[in-house]
Amino acid sequence: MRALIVEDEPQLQQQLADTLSQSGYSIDQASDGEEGLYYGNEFNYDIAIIDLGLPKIDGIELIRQLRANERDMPILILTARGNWQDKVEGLEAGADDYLVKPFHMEELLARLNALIRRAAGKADAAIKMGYLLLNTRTQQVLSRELPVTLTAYEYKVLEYLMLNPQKVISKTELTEHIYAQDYDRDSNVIEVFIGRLRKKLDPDNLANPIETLRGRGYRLALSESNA
Amino acid sequence: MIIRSINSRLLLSLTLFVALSLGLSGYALDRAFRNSVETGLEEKLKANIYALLADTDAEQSELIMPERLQNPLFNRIESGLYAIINNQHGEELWRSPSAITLNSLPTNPATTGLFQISQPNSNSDYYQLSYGIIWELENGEERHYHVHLFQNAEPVIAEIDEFRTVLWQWFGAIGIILLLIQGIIMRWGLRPLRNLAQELQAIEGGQQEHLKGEYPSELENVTQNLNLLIDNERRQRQRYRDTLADLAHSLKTPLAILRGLSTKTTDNPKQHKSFDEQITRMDDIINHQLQRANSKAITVANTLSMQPIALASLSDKLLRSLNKVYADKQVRCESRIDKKISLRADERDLMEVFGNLLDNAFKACQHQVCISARFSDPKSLLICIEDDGDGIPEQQRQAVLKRGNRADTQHSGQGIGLAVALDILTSYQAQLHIDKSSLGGAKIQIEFPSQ
Repeated sequence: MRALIVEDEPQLQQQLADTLSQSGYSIDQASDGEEGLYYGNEFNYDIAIIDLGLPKIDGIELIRQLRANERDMPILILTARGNWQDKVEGLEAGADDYLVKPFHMEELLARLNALIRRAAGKADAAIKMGYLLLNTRTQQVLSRELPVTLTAYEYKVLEYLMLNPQKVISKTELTEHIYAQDYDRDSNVIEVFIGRLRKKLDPDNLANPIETLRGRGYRLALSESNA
Repeated sequence: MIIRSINSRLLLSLTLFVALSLGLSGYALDRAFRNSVETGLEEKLKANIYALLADTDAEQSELIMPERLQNPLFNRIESGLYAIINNQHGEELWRSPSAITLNSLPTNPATTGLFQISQPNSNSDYYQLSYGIIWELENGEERHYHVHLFQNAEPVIAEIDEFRTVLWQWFGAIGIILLLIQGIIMRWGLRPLRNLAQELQAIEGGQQEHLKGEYPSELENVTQNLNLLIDNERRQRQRYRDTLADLAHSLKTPLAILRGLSTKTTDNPKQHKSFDEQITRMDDIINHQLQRANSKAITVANTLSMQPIALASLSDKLLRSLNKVYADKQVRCESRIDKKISLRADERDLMEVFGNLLDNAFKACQHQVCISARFSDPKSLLICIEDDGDGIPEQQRQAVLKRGNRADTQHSGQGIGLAVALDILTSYQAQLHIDKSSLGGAKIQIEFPSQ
């Protein structure tokens, strides 16, 4: 998952970045509204965390401009004051949830998770596709009810595919959502991850859960079922 | 009786003034006219006495009067002008032909050389002029005669009455015209005050923010000061809020960093828990003190600078926001608030009260939340927020409300939201009651006094 953090306090920004990276997110960081707007407009994110009290462009205006530019990723606002006027203003401007400072990082992660699931149309932390079960909260994957051990990047690829079932996802899109913006990208690595995932999820090569559509990308071929 | 309206005071005093001055002038003119008529009559009677004396002659001891006198009125029977000459003992010696048919006429004794006039009265319907003369005979003997002239009062009184009627008709008309002019002057003169009252009403009603009209120099100072007062009050409140927001931001962000650091710096779960508890405590104290400072700002607030807030649109905004935040719960929320219902209060305060209470309801509910508002007797506004959750047990209701006084000892849950709401509501003299809802959960009832 690729996340944008817009927070002007450097220490808090770094803490957020560390926590999210440890949880498997690829992160872009911005220290003011203007920078946040640039990142938000230029790249695709699965989620954005925006502080309301920002220099240059304040948080509410930033959200408004991102939504006006048809950026539809879920947005979580961070607010110090926590009064309802600010919360409502932020939510009406286009944010999806709020968190009042000082917050627990666990709560932040849970909220982000819920927002990403909700954006993908999933109400539950557990996503079931065919014989695969992925829990976005615990980051556990079961294949035919047996646990599968995945590396962080393999998990990221699978989670993104499962959150966008039946959708053709290009290598570029997948790369963007897995790596931070300043990372040196190599789309061949994606092919390696897909190859490894196929082996781990379908060792007997019977179900072919991840289809390759030549020149277009990949698609999770399993259909959604109740978790 | 105290008359509270300037209009009525001016109208009443000017009406009394016009009535009094016209009444006194009328009375004075009436007296002057009557005096002038009577003086004229006296002069005419005096001239008649002289003319009569010119016709008189006395020979030896006898008074000799001609058969026909110079003034024809003396010769015509019952002409209205009569003459009688008495001797000094009051015995009648002669009367004019005009008075022949009349009974005896009461005569007053006359003083020699002096004219004495008497008004008509209950015994007499005549003006009477008496004059005493001494007639010296050829032999040097003196005779005293009293000459009395009588003028019928009826035509004189009729003339005075006619004048009086015309006079009061004119004065009545003048009075009405003066009152009309006075009414027009008052409307024109008091128009700036009426405009001021209308503008203040518009400000109270939220249709305008300042006094905009042009006012006469006497009122300009007042209107400028009022505008300044309204502006200052708004600015002060905004500054106060901004300062509180800045304070919150500058305290809460370091707390957030501390909380993040506490996870990293210690692996000891006990220490971590202790860190966390202290941070939570500091956070609660900051929240509580900020809220208290905010409530104090409301008590000094000037209601003129507060706009009426439409309750339905405020609740819709909050419900839309909460539906987003609690999207996973798929809450069915119902808002039964008439669009016309509004409350004169600070929008932020109302947002805080209903935000906290509705947030509690969304948290506590299974699937349903309802907000409704209606006017109850006597015109106080009753707002209910209900949910289908577990509700607040009866024995805990008072405790939950009492805890509001010390938000720093609270833990998260129903209490904090209620405490914040209660703090704000108290500064608006509103009441909060907890009850059981027909939906199954809690029913929070708020009663705002009439505004």
